[in-house]
Amino acid sequence: MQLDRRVFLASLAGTAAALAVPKSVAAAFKAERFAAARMDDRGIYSAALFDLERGDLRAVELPARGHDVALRPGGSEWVAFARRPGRFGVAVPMNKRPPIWFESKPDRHFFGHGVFSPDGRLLYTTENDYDHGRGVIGVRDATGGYKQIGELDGYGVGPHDLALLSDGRTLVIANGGILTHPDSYRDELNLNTMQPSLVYADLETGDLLEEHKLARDLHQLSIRHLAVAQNDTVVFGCQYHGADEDTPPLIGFHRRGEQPVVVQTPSTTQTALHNYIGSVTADAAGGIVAASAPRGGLITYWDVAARRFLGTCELGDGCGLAPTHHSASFLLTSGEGWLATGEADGTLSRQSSRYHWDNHAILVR
Amino acid sequence: MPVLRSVWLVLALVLIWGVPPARAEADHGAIAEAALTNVIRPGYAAFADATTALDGRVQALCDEPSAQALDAAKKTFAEAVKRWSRVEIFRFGPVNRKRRYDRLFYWPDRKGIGLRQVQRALADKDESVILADTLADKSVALQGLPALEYLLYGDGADALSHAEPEIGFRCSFAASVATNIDRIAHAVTEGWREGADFTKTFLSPGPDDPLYHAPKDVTLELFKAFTSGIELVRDQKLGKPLGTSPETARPKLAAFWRSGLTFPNMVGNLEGARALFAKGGFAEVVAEESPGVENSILFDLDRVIKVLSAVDQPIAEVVEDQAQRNKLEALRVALKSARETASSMIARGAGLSFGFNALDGD
Repeated sequence: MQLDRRVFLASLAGTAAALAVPKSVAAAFKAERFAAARMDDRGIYSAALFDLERGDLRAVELPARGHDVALRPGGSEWVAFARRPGRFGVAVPMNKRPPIWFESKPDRHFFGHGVFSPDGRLLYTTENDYDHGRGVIGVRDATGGYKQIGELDGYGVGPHDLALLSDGRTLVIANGGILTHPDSYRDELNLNTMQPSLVYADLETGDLLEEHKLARDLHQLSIRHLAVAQNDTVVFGCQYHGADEDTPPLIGFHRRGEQPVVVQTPSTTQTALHNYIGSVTADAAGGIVAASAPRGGLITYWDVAARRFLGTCELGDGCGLAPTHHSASFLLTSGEGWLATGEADGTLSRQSSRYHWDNHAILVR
Repeated sequence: MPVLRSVWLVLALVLIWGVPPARAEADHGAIAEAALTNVIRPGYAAFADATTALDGRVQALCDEPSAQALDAAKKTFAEAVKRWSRVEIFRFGPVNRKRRYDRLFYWPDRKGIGLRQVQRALADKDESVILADTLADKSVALQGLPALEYLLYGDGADALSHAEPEIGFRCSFAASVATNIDRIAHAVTEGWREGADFTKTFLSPGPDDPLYHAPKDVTLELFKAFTSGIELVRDQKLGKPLGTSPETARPKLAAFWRSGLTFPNMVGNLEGARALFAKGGFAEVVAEESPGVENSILFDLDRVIKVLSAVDQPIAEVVEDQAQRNKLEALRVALKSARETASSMIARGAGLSFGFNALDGD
């Protein structure tokens, strides 16, 4: 049986009761820790490790808006990335040691996402080689102050989210397909010819293993975010850059060796998504995926094995998603300040916070 | 005095060309003041009055059990729920301290865990739940309105009307929950009184304040209460129990289904949101943006409130009734349009940063 942490912790509200519970038992029910980037009401950006009971456990002020966070395997630190077209990254230790700052090369910028090798030694980040209009994957040595030691081909334009398959060696990259250049800030320069792709590359050799493009009529469907769910099913979320009146499917499923399948939601929901998925995350067991639609103020839930839409819940400007320790349960964060626990059945319990939570969040296991 | 001269020059130019029609930013201080004195404070005061009456009636029921006494206790419970519903949309301030919100209203109870805790305490005759002092340290699910609802309306509750020794424990449990609810309600009221710490922060936040740094932050807090209050009714209170069809309906997800207060609860939530809009200063902000639109928002909200108030079937029947389902689905559309219209205009008119993720995608 899965105990509800909310109830369990509540039952520990009295200190007498809390003392009566053995430490080892209490530890198993400790509030999950999460990390995410955000902005406060004064416009100051930060990234923080936090839980829903105590709030911030450690926060680091950022020079500009952050984006995603990556957890270093082994749990010694987490890394926050600049939102595109930013150039900073910061590794924040779990203990009190000072953060380690690093930058992209002068002719690169980050896209805001990164992933560690399973041994926690190397950090891979999606970056823009903007003078050549191609995406690259920067490789940094986490054991050596995050000094850049190499670069892999991203095999596409505008690589955004990336993740590792369960073999720990295959990298899957969402190439959004949109050409941008920091000189024109965030303008999209190639919407008529864009060609997004889902790419698998070998982490060690950098070789291209598999590349998938969507059907020709979906070439303006930018593949932006992804999550690796059970059986290495990659679930990806898209943003549509074509005509407003179109309502293409926005969620896709793919397993290596197969063709990607994009799946429509029921028509009223499809319209409500406003052609925009902001974040995709698998739950603890990998059987259910949540995908957020901040423009629609909706979180959608998906059954991975059946590749089926399960339902939604409403959360204004809800975007960041992280698994919790329980299956079918997610942390949901919102630019309006909400921190919520959402279940795949669409039920939601929320609490207010003082921050505009940014697009992504992670569970710090 | 060159500075003074240039000031005069500017003034002269302004006099010649006229002041540009710059609209003053919304008066955030006035919004906070209006929301507090017209909506929040009277709302919690009314709730606390009702919980005191409830506490008295449940105690009277235990002292002298009878069908009439049980009925009277249920009536005061219903009144307390209605008044709670009007302040339920506020997730900030004193109700946010010491887990008071969850202690008053542990909901949704998705997997029935709260229910099982109440049932276990009943079965085990757990002595710590019959004293309000010790109850306050127990699980939040044992302490609030949903727990009391089960005790007064759930399986075996009818026996409360007979003076049987077996039922004494259940009644004592109910009485301690009622006392606990009353204490929390008064603590919240106290936390909002004039001169209280939170009240001071709320009415005149300073840059060093940990919660609100500027009056605009308070407006944002109220704005969130309004929009999320409508979201709550539309999605969680109506949408989730209804499901997409009678087959997928989950009426037991509804709040207060045992007491038949599901619809009064939703009505109260919307009345709270409506009051915040009409009396808390937001209607003026919208009127300033686009005169007349405030009335169409109120019209939408009033219509939904009216239809929901008229539902006299229990939620379990409503979800099976296609005509009712269609009607309620239409209300969800009306709520969505009211929320969207109001939120975009308030956000613009009050200069709130809004759509942090939605507006500038990535």
